[in-house]
Amino acid sequence: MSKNHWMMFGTFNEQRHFIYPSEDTYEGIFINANMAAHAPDGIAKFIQTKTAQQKYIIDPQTHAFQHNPKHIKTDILIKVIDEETGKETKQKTGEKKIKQSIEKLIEQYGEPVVSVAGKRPVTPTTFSNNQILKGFTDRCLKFQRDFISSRMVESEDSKYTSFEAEGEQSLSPYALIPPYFYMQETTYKNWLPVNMESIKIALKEKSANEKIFVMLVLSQGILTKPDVLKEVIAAYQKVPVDGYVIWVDDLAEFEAGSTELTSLLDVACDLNKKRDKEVINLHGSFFSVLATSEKWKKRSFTGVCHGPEFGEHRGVVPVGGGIPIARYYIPFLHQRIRYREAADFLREIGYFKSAEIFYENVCNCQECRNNIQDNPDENFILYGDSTPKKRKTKNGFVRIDYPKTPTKLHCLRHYLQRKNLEYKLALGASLESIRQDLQRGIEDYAEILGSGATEHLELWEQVLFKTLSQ
Amino acid sequence: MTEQDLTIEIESFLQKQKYRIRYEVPNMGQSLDILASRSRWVTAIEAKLENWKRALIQCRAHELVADYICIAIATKKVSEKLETEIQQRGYGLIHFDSNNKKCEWAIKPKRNLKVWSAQRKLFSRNLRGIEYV
Repeated sequence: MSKNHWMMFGTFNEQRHFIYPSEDTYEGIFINANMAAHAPDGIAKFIQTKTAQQKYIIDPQTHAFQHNPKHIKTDILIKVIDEETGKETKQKTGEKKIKQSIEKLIEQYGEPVVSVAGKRPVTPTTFSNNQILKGFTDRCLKFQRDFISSRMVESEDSKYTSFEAEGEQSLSPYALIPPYFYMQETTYKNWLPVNMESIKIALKEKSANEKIFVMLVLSQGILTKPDVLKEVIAAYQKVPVDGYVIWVDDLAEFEAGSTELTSLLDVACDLNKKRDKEVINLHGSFFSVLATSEKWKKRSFTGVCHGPEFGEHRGVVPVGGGIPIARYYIPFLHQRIRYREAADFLREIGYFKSAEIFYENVCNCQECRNNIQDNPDENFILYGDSTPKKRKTKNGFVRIDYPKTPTKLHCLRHYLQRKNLEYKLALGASLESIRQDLQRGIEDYAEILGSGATEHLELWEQVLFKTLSQ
Repeated sequence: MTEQDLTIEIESFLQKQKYRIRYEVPNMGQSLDILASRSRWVTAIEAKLENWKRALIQCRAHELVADYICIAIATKKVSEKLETEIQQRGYGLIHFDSNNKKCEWAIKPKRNLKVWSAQRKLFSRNLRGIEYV
């Protein structure tokens, strides 16, 4: 088990990936509270049958109530029967309602969100009465503590797991997260006191054997403002919590500049000065994973979370899914690339000439060995096989390639294999090996793809060694 | 003139030369404007009113599957820069002359030798479900 490797639960379709490549790949999983509220029995079963060896934490997602209410709503659909074909379809009515999973979460959290959700966002003044914040925090912690674990106790599956032998405590989440709200340069002054107060309430309310992790959700703008960042971090350093979960709004590490990346590491280092806290990056890629190495002089992140295939960066406000595209994770670029681009340049470089060349220079994970076998030129298409389907757009119908289910699975399994290797590399390798890994991507690809495609590797190396080695 | 008007002009131009036409053919996550087939050869065509630089980028993916690659434009004059770019790549250029309302081969395409046979097989398989105009 890589103790730095966390995975984010997204949908029930993804359950099987939490035991891939092996049952003990992941240290723990994050589960969104709305998912837990909506399908507690399913989540309980998932934890007991698929991830019994792993820790789990429920993200209370309280920030969802501070944004424009449209983000927690969905279209109301009505069934319409086509007169000619008799086929039943669903059509939008133009009206919206709160998403069912959020509705269930609101039931658990009670006031003040019951009164305002869907109508207007909560603001810092919503919580200005300390009793309101206390009640909200208590219910939020109770939900995390009991809602899933009580289902596990009642579940048929409990007798098949090792939980009983270990006692009921192991059914509980690894840590509880107090309510938290997103902070930007313009809003932190008002939200910081609310966040701090909810942490203090949680620390008072927790039982002796419960851990409290706090969620620190920041805008990228705050990372570029040293004074603001200092003030925020100083506040968080003062609370005696067990760990921190950091989420920077839509910070794609392969696109970020040195200021953002350096600040991200500085935040993690400052929160972990005594090397006695757990600090998890909720959405991070290879850059953050490398930072988890214990060989650095400064300790920063202890864990990094990602989703199966998605989730190495994520916006605080949700955005639509878009059209699915097959992407292949290029190991030495540490980035997922569109299949057509990956195939084009890997072939151009000559990496499809033989299986030996492919395994040596591209990937030799088990999934690639199963797919590529002895002929990359013939078999790499398994990562891009698709079916054309018609899709309605504003200009009429267009045909778009949709990756086939086996294609998506091949891409995903290859990605998860590589992630597993990356997390292990970060834990086991020397700092020199880390440097060599990053250099390898630059040497292999800068010439053919242009320096723009590899500059993130150069930047990662500079920032990691400068920030964590001194 | 719209891009759709241009594709209709090209369709008529190519049909006179015994090509069979398909529109909006997906290729590796992109949509190819026109696919013209004659005997066993396929020609990928990106039609643009102005932004031919974007067409050049789109054509890159077609190099993996098409025997010939062309850009079609509707301008008063073909720029020297475009001609150079097209010739360097071995692509063809169909020019719709907006003055006399006629299409012509400004540059005939060269045979593309970069076709990736495995991907071409997938492409051909997926073509079966797409009707000719």
